[in-house]
Amino acid sequence: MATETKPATEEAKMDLFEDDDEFEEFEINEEWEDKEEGNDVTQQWEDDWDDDDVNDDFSLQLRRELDSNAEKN
Amino acid sequence: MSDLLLQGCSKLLENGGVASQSLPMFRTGSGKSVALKQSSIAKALSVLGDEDGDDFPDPGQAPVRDFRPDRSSFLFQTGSGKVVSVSPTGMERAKTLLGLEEGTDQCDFTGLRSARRPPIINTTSRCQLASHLDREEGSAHPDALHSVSAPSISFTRGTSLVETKLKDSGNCSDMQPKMCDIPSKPAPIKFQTAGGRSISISGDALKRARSLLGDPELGDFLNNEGNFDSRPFSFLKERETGDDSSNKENNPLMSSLCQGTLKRNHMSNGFITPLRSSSNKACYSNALEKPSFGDNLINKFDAAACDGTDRSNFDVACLQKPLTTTSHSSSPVVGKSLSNGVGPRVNTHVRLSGGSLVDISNRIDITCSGSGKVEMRRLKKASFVSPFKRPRSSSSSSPLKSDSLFSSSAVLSTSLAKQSLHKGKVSSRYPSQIPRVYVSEYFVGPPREHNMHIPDQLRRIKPDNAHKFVFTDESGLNCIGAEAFLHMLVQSGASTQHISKGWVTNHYRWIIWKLASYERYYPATTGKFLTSTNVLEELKYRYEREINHGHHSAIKRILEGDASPAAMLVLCVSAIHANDNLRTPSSTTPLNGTLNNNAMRLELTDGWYSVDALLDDFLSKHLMEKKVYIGQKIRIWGARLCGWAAPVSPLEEPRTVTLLLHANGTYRAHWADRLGFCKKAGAPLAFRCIKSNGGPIPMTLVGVTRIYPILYRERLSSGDSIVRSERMEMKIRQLYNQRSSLVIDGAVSEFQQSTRDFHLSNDGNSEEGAKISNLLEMSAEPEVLMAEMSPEQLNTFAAYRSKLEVTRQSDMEKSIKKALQDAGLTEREVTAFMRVRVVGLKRKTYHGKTSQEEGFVTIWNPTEKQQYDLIEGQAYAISGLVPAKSNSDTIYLQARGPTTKWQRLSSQEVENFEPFFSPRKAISLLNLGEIPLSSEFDIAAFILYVGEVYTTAHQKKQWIFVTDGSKVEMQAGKYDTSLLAISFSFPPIDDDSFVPINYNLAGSTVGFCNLIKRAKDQMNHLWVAEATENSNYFLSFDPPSYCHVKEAALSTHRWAKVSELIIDELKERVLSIIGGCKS
Repeated sequence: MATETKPATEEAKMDLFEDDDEFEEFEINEEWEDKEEGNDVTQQWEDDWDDDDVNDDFSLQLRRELDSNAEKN
Repeated sequence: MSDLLLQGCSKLLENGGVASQSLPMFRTGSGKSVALKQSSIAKALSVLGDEDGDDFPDPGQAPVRDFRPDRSSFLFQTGSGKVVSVSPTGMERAKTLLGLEEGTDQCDFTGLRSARRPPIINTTSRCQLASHLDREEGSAHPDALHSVSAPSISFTRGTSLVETKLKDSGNCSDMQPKMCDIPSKPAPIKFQTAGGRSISISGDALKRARSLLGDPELGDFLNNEGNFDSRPFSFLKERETGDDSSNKENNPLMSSLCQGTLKRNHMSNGFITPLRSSSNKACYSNALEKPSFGDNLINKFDAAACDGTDRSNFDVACLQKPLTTTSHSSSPVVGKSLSNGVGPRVNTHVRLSGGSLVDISNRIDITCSGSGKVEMRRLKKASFVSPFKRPRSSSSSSPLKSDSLFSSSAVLSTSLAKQSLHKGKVSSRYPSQIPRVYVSEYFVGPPREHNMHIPDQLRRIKPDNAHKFVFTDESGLNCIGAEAFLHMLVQSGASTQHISKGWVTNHYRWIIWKLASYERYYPATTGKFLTSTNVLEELKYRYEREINHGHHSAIKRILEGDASPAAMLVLCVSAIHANDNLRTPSSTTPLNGTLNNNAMRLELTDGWYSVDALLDDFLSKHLMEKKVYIGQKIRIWGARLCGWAAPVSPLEEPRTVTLLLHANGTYRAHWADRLGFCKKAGAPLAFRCIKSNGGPIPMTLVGVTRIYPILYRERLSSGDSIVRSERMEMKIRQLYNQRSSLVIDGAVSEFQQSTRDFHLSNDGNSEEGAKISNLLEMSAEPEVLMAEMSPEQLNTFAAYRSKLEVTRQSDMEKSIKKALQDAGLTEREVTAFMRVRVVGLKRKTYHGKTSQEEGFVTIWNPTEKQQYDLIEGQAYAISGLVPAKSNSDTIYLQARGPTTKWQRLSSQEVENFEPFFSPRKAISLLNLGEIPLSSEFDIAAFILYVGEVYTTAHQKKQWIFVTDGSKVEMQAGKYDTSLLAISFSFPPIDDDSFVPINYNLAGSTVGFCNLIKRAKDQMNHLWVAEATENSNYFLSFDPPSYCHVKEAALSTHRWAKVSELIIDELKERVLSIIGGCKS
């Protein structure tokens, strides 16, 4: 597997945006008894695995892509 | 003005005799110039033990002869100056011991000599001198060079590489024999400990050590060698700071010689010890600046090293020499990779060859002076780790610079021995210096498939092959992969002490996958993200965070035991272990059924590391339905680790630890959710989404609709269990206590009777004590007798009494226990619990499907706080529930009092949800028809009749008949007073004297809660209800939980007062019903 090297003429990717793997360093508090967080509690996770209609476009698209890849290989 | 540092110490030494004419100067480590008087130099020399009174050691003097290798015998000069001859046999034995091969005598011998160099020879002067000598090749000190040229031949024999090098730079070769004059001065043997302490070792101690090692001959050999080298070792060892300029003056030539030998070792042997690697960094940085990958590479490196200012690499190089064979291949390939055992192994050999002159220090002192300050600055920051703390694996590194990524790949593996130990800043991108938006803001929308052509190689990059990806240059001939990035990382300042090839390969894999994914789904990025520069920057960033800042990603923290796997975190599916999964029969099981023992495995990543995960039946089913797929992010909460006993590295292979995922704690996550631990509390799982076999529920929201009275479950010795109301439990407990008291009293009384004349007569002391005790008991005036007793007798008596008491107590406890057992009164095993009926909270804005909204939570051992704080009608966020079972519309859940948290939601929060609560109210018999069958209701009623307890097959039962005075129209114009029959049942085991409803309650107005409506007895026009475990009755209506029936109770009470006739009629009616039933 190989690809041509791209000249790094542009700004380094890391300077463009913050990635999802750039984790934050913090103390893990599993209690979350802080009242400040209280309002967040009202948001429930209502995405039941059994519900098929909750999948966003990307999920469906990605799944199609993976399927097509699998077929090609 | 002469600057010693620049001139080289040798110059000073040479000019020693004429130095008075122009005062030499030297520069201290801090850069201060100090003028030296000739007298000072002479004094320094005398202090340093130059007993001969020579102004300076003459490099060409006789001691060289002592070293000249001879086929028949070898001569050593001991530390005390004694010349010792070593027989060929002795040499052979020594060689055998040292693991040297036949035919390498000369070289080995030279090696041994080099090895005699103390490991921590003053590092400051070495490179300085070397560079100086190189610069002033053949011209600076012709005298000195001349004087030593002849003996040098004997040292270069068999060391072609060094020879080449030395010939190239004549000075170096000429310097070589100068080392011979170094060891001529005896001195105590010292070494530096890991803690930096200098320890002096006497000859006797050495002997003892040798005898412990079991080879006296070796010992002699070592002794000679040790003494031989003792002088430079001793004085050098004491220069811990390394900037003592006097050191620089003493053995300049030896230093340069050693450096010469060092180079050869570097090339011919892949070893690197922790001691040297840090220092080599500087030297090799130079090499990297001007890479040349021809056959003469080593020479180039040598030259670079000579130019460099880092002198510390000398230490280990010299130590290593005895280990090397005389392989002088100039091949840059490093055959012997760094193994974990290198450090100790080197040390072992050094001890053998160098006569205990082993440096075990974990410090390398380096001073910064002259040229090469950049490297030195880096080194100064370094933290050096003891050789005993080597990383598990190291790998070869390349002196490549990022701008020469595609230079000869053959060179990639040459710089194993040139790695740095230091922990300097590697990436300036952490913390980020510029404000950046988050990925979702940068790309605005979610990743989308685009119509642009995606190169096949880009399309093929997947998590399982990303680590094999290589960048190729335009010619297509050179390519760089993960290994090359390790070299680049090292070159950027990373230390192989902290990272390995495995480390880089792992991170390379995730970075490549990520960058390739961006390019695939965002056309604007195609060709811009997946570049070697970006990869290197990301690797550096990761090194900076993990190594320099100690920030560990979620998976690393979990596997290393630093964080709980139960915490909420977002991970991405990176592999589905299809092969493993296919082996199970699950692939053929129907999708709609529950899968058993067919758990699917997959790999999850936090972007930094990965971990295998095992799915429960529900999730396995979703996997098969392709609801779980590679690239999907999932939020897991409350997961457990399987196979984890102790901290384990995320890079450890094979993987033994598995994350166990369950449906109730695993949710699909947004594509842009940040990977790793969640900083804020996650969204609770909607109650309706709870699966009864989906494992623990990290958090859910419920509205409490009913709280039932506390109950007690007693586990019986037979294994059965029995549930009682609080009232019954109190009675049982009281009865138990009463009976126990009686039994205990009886047992105690019996015991006291039987042990009135209790004595101990086990040993002599007890007998003596018993005698005294008897005497005192018999005596009319025991006080007088005691006054006459000796202290010993009193002590014996006291001890006897005390022992007697303890024994009596113990015996009594035993007999009480036995008596209780005989009476069937073993300790009761009772657990309190309470049930709470809950409903799921439905957001006002939610219009999706609704399912299973109601549940029963059993709280085992409820805390007092829970008993008081739980209020019907309030909403709670509950964490730590475990589902037990479910039926079509109700799920049963378990909670543990101390561990399950009930956090009440504020009224503001509750407003977001649909109302869920129907407050309790007293039901009139008039309205009982409106209550559905099997539903609960509360009522206040007048008790007409309390029936007798009777026994059925499995339980005892009791009926009571009540009315609230409400009248119902039976026929036109004819009204009848309503009657309600309530059945109570209770376990048959309990005492017959127990009745749920006391007969005395007839004629009272009582409140009832949680009665279950049963089918009406139409024949007798009788309402029927059942009292269950959850039902309760009460006579006081003031407590808040009962006040809702207070008004009804008062009304009934008022009616009863004025309705004696009606009550009598009703009693008659009840009796007739009972009679009818009986008949």
